[in-house]
Amino acid sequence: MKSRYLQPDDIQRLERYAFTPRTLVDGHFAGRHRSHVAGPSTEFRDYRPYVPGDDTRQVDWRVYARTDRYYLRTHNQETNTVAHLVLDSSASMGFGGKTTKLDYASRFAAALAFLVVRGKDTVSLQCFDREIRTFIPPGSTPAHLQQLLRALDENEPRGETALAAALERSYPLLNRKGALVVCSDFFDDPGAIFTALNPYLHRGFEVHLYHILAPAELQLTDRGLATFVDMENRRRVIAHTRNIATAYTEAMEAHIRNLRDLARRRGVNYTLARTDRHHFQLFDQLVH
Amino acid sequence: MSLTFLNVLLWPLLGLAILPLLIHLFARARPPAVPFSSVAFIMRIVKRTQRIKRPRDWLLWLIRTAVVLLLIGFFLKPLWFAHPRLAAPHQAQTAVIVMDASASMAVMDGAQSRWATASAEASAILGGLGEGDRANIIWLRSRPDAVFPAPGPNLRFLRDQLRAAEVTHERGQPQEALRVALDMLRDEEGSKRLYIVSDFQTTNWQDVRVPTPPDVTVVTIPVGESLPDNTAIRRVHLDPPNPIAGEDISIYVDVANYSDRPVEAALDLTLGALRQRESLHMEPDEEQTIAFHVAALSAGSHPLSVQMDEDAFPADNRRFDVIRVRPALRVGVHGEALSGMIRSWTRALRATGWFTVEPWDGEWAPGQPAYDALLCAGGDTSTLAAAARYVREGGLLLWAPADGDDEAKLRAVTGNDWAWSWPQPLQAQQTTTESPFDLQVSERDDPVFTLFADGTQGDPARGTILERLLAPAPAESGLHTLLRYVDDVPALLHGRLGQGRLIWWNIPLHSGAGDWAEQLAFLPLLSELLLQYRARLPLEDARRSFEPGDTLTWRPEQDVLLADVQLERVGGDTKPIVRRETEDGPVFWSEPVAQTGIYRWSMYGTPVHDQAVNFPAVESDFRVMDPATVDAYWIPIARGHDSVALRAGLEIWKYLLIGVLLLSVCEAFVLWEGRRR
Repeated sequence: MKSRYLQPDDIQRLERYAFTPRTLVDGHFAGRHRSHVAGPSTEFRDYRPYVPGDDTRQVDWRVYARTDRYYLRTHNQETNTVAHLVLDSSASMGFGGKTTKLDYASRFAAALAFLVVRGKDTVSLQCFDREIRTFIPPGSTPAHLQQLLRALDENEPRGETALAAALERSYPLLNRKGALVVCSDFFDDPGAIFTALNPYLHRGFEVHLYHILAPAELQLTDRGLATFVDMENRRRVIAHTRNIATAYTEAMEAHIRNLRDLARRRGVNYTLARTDRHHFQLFDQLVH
Repeated sequence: MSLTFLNVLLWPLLGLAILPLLIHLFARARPPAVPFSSVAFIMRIVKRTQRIKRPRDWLLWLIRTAVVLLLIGFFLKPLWFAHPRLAAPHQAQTAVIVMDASASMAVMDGAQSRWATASAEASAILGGLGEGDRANIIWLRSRPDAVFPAPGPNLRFLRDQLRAAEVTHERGQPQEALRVALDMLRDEEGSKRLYIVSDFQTTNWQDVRVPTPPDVTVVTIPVGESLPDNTAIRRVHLDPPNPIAGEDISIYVDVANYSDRPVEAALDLTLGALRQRESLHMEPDEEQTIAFHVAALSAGSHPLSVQMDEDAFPADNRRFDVIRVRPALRVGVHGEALSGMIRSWTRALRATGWFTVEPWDGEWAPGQPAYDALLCAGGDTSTLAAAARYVREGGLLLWAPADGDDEAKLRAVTGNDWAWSWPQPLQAQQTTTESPFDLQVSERDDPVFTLFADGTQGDPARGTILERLLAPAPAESGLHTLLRYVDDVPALLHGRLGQGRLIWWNIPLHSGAGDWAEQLAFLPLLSELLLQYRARLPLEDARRSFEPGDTLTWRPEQDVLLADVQLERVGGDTKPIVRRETEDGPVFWSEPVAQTGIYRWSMYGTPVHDQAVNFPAVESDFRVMDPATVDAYWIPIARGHDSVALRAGLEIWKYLLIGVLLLSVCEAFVLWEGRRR
């Protein structure tokens, strides 16, 4: 397993973590996840006597041949959970200096995908800017993980952010509910974002928002008079850093506060992820 | 106001005024580009702060534009002129200063006199003239006098003359002084300026109107702000004005209070050994006439002086006069020498001893030696017209018309002043001793009849009259019929005509016409008529009062050498005189006199003629003209020093530089304030 976002050291440190969504999954998987019902599955669970009304297709005819009794083979329903990783790959995610926000988010996503796959759960990946650029459907095999890591490696920040639109477009792609992990800098209208999240929440998704921000975005670095160039749309604005620093910090804090308030009210997990802190710390919110 | 720029070649620099705007628009700062994840927040903040910043930007732009404009103005070397017509920075100037040296300039105006203030202002004007400029000073006195015949470049001499000059007691003649000044400027080249330094005393200046040529700029510098309390003796006049010996005289003294508070004063009359005093109370701005009465004086010259308590300006608190008491009245007689009327008049007048009777040639013009009365029997139209001129000037004509005189003769005398008309020529009427034409007195209250009130002088209506001229009775109320015949035919009437009086006589005096001339009342009636209504016009050499600045003259009756004649001011020193030969004999002239008082001519050491020199009454009223009135005609400036700036302009480069500095400070403050925010 080779990826620039998942190093052997990371794998070693991830041994201590396990991906456990807080919501109860429908089914169980090898004692890891409980399931409400038994259902069709490829994995054998037990035998039980036939009772009228059972699906005759479930009858194990080999046991009947040996015992002349009707027994039904029961299988574990697929109760492993699905983690949908949604990764903002717009140009603004390229901000951050040596370690960009996209790098940071990619490392987090890679580590999370590793944990999910290791836990026999499935994981999908979407990289988007204004549109969904990459979509890897849910999977839980090492090969799937490898494919996912390769997609992360190849992902580049570009284009403009349209998180709300991307969420709306990705919804039809996600057949199974699970954990929706959104990594973005959320430079979009908070109201529109949560409107786009409504269908997910209604369907029972456990939504985790990771607000990826570089320290320089939280507090402007003093650069004197500077022409700030928007990395997404190339718009320019001249301002003196000292003149606007305070107001900018206040505006960013208000934006974060707004996102956090909306998330709390909707039962959404919101985490501010500073790129100057290790991404493993983010697992505290998500894994145990 | 106007601006002139000396460095006009630098005008294109004005285009630089747009530089700050161009810099503001195009040369904006290009700070280093900083890629940033999203500038949405920054833009929002900048947009909000722009609302504050933009007015500041415009203010900065305005300040910087103003700085550039002021700097350009600085290099253009502007000159500011208070009045466009006064701007003449590159022209040689000819300045004529009319310097008011009249008596009113002597009054104290605060700590110094108006004259001292005016001298300082005039000196400042001269100081403001430069090399190549020409100037002259005209002293505004009773006779304007210039320092140079024409404006000259010797300004130093003018300043010396200004320092040496003194204010006089003369009256000012502004009109004449301005005329002289404008005549001087007429042929001059370059910028012509007439400065008037005066107190613009109302009594002297209110009627002054001098048409100013368009190329001459008249600049006024009014001096004199306060109004000192002043009382003055304005005039002394006599009644009768030309008394004869033995006649009582009333001396009337006109006094005036020009202050704004009441005045209590005493007026002292000195006439030879006679002393009289009158107290008076005058309200503010009041004029009064105080009368002194003196008994009959002997024939001759009687100097008098009237003096009142001295005030802040004592020069006009004393006045002099000379009463010339004549031995007899001078009467001119015109008519046929042998006519009864002429003979009777002449005989009667000579009998009194109060009249000197002379034949009158029938010619008269104003200014000629005048008679106290003219007696005319008959007369042609031209003679009557000459007599009428005399009457209208204040004389007395006693006219006895002749048989056949018509309306034309009447009009020759009265013109259209009298409404009395003669539809028919006058015709002589005769009667018999049985039924004479009886007379009766019509207006017994007339002063002429005062003498006859007690009857001792006879009855003027008494006597037998056998001839008369048939004339209609006058209807006009202005005519006074003294005597009339019982059938209303006028016999003796009089009325005013111009300044004088006409007595119309219709009583024949020749033998055979009756005995009225032989009655007791004839002589006193004729004398009273002439005494009561005698001429009021100035008689020969009757000018009693001269003013400082006048030249005194005296014409002796006989030829006399200069060495034998002397002029002295009574109580003072002798005055230089000159002798000039004229067709009518020698005339002695003095230099213009400076002091008031009685001046006495002496011949062979004997006083022969007195003349009074008095302060000009017109100068006593120190009220000055309303500045707005002066401004309406001329260009006023406050001070003589301003004339420098008026001519050369005020260099305002230093003010522009100060403006640049102040604006720079403002710009720094605005920038600092912006940073602080």
